[in-house]
Amino acid sequence: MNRRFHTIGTFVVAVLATWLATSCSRKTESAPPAKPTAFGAAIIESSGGKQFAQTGALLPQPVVVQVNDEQGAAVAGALVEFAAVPGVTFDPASALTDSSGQVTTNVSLGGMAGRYQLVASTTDKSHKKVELKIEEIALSYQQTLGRRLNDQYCERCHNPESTVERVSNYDNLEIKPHPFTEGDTLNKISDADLTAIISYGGPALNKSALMPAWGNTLSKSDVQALISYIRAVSDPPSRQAGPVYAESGIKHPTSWPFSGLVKPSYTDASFPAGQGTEPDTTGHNRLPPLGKQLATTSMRQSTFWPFSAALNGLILKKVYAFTQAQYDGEDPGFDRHDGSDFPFEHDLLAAKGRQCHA
Amino acid sequence: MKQKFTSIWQKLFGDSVRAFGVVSVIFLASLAIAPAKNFFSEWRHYQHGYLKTIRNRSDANTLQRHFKPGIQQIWLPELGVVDRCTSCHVGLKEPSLTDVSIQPFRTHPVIPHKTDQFGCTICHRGQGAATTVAEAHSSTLAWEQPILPAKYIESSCGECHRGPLPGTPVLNEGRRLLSRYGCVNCHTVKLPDGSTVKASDDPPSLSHIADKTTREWVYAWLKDPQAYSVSATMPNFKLSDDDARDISAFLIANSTAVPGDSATLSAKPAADPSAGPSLYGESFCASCHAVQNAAGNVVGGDVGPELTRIGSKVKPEWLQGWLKNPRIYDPGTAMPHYRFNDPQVATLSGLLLAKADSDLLANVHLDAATPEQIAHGKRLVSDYGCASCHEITGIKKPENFAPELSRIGSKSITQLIFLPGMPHTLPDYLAGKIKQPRAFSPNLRMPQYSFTPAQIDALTTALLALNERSTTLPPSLAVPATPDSNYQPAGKAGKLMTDLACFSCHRINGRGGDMAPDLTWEGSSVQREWLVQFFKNPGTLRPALIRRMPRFNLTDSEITELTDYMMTVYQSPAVDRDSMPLSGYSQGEVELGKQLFYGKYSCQGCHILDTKTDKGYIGPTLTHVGSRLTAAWIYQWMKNPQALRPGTVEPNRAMTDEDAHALTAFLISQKGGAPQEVAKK
Repeated sequence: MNRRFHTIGTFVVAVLATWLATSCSRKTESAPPAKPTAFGAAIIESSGGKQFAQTGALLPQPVVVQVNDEQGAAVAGALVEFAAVPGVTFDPASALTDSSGQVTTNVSLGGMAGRYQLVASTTDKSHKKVELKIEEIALSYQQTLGRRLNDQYCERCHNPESTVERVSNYDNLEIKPHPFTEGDTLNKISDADLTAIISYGGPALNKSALMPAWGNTLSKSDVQALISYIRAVSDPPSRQAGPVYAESGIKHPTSWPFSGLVKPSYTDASFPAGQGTEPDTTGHNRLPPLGKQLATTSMRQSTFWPFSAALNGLILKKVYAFTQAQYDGEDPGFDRHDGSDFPFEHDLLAAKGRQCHA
Repeated sequence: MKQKFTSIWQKLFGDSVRAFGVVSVIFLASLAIAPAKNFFSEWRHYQHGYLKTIRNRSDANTLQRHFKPGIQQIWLPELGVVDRCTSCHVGLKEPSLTDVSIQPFRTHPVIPHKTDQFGCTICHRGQGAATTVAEAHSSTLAWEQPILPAKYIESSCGECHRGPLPGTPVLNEGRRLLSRYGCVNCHTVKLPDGSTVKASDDPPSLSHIADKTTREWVYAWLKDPQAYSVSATMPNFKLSDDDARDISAFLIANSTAVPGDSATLSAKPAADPSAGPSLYGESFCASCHAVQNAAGNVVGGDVGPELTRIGSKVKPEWLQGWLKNPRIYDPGTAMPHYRFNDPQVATLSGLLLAKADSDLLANVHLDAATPEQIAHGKRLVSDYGCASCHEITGIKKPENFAPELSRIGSKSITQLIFLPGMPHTLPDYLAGKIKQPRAFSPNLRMPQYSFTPAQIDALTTALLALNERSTTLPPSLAVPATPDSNYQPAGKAGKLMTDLACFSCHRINGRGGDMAPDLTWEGSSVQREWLVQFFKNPGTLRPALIRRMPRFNLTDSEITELTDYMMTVYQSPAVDRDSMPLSGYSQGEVELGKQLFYGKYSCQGCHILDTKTDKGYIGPTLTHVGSRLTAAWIYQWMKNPQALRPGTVEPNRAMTDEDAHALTAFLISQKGGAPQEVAKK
């Protein structure tokens, strides 16, 4: 009798322990921000606002902000933190201003096309937050294609600014074309009208013949791509370009008891941009794929999951130990032509804990 | 405690009937687990959310009609696709949901492929058959390919599309960098079609380096190439002082002389201090060579090396020999043989030698090299694989010096060693390795490159495209790249074109640079007399262009040779240049053409025909077009410019024969009175 209760007790404890061990929540640890040595009163944008980049890509220029005091003089050593919707990454996400009062950060936008609002903030002397909002635009595939067409065909006349490589033709034209950022005018023109002007030239809508017909040069999808680009960059934003992407989205089931042992670790970023995974220094990722698959699929496919989970926890441990031991016996075949070696730890508990943040 | 358990046990299983009842209840409860698990599944939660989201929309009825409950699946056996992503991503194919910014309900952005034909995981990776978010998106435990971060998404395009695509700038740039920075000199990259990626960095031969520069410069360069030139593609090998000393000793000792590659001039540089810069400008050196300006920006082309500190590098006699004829020292150089006369060489070398940086070599003091140092230097040169890129006398180009990267995009992360704090994904590993190779081990031989973050992303994208699946996809899906052309013009003219390095800027029959116009059909396009005059004095045709054809000081016989060859060989089958006369059009036609030019087609927006009224900066100036182009070419160009020169900016106006004929008549009458003036920028 005594022994049986012992066994049951052990079993219950084992189930609970496995449950706890496998349902540990993922926490992303970020380095604590540096301590500010000074405080400013205002934060202003130096450069890097209103840029376009492909979804997920780095902005071509870094974003530079400056912290000023009440008199408008630059403040060195003030802490600036950058924030945006999940999916946007900053490198660095927070920093102290340099001797000229500035902080430079490389920004990559999220995986969805649209307008992104970045918030740079600093604290003033009374620990009140001072914020600066910067807008950036992420272009979808179609808009990127449109941008390329714009660069090749349209921009020479439609962009009044010249660059080293391209002298603008804008000033040479008797009737000035609309820059594509001119949302006040372009937003009022329907897609159908824009298509007509691009395909059949200005005269199609009783406008100047200086706008030639492109319908025989550009395909229909090219024209659509161009229009989607024009809509994306217009200022004020065009309705068709979609809203500013800043909604938090649908509530995702964060603690979901019935979805198996692998808990969803899903964020609104929709496509994890490679950040947020916990650093793993244990080396247990050396487990061969077969062992992993065995270990996890057997766990999921069982209907009697609460029981099988506990069993599998034990099986998993065995599988890990076995495969790891096998693996250590061989040369793993790394590109180690320098002959150096790397230390490994074989922390099995950590290996099990890894399930949550795989 | 013990008593309590005993009594509970007694109550539940005390007699057989009660035990049977209790076991039955447990059995029934466990039977209910499977349906319950199904009922509370994640995808059901999202589908409920979707229905709630669309309920109050104006197009709710349409959306609801399109909505199919339950697990959805795209099954494409030939691609190995079993994608259930659409179970949660319900609104993927609803174009009206573009204003919905919450996931998983957003509509998919417009792409050239249909999800029904390709599924989702072909591009996004991840585990398609999974029905929970964590397993589908980020499981690396059971699945080697977690979902691809958006910034690398173009790598998936590269699995089928082997050449550059207009919609994938990042992938194109990454592939270019792989060649341009010589990555493929050490790492073999075999493409699925069996070809090997070739390097395009053209590193100089080191076999005759002592003719060109000093040991001190070699030492400083080896220590930090970017200190000499910020745009240098040579990576930093982080050599110790002793290693750099020994390598420089070996390279100089190993160097052999090339007869005739240096020159001592009797001519003096021009006295006028502005002569140098103006010759530099007239020769359009800046089209290929960059110079760092006072603000630190590198301005100029990247075909040749940066010249900011050239005076600290080269020996004056070598530079003069090089300017006289670069092909003696390096027969394969992209630099044209300019045919400068001695005073010009003296002037130009005077200008270049003044571009020196006294700080660069100020602290370099090297004693005479000992044989031990030279031997050690030779060993280091072999160890670091210098000969993978550079030609060095006596050292063979090592084979398979670095790991092959042909399938790097599907490297299992179990075979990778991550740095502490680094996310365990293949893209992060690749980016980390490119960014700081020696962080993985100080003994690694891979050097430190100076890539920008955007370049690292581009390279990672290009590497991820080199994966297993690109070889296993059905061959019908592969879109091959345009094969490299190794076109070489024949005969004396061909030799002359090599000597002048025409292909560094011009493209002919698919080979050559893109800086200057494609000359494939130049013989059909221009009139002979114009071409002769152009070689003698290349004016500019496009007012807004900053890169122009330099003057090569060709002799008359050389010009005749080149002109004859181009007029005979470079003819388009679509244009018979003798089919239309160069004059003799009726006044009515010319007048009609003028009206069309300024009215219906408004050509003055881009072209200058009358310098007093027209201002267009985009197309070539047309004041002398009647003595430049052939009438047949103008006519065909009016009909369809892209057919003659693909990618040209001029829109195809689909002109009627009459309009094209009238415009041809008008344009061919524009002979231009005075000789063409060189337009000023």
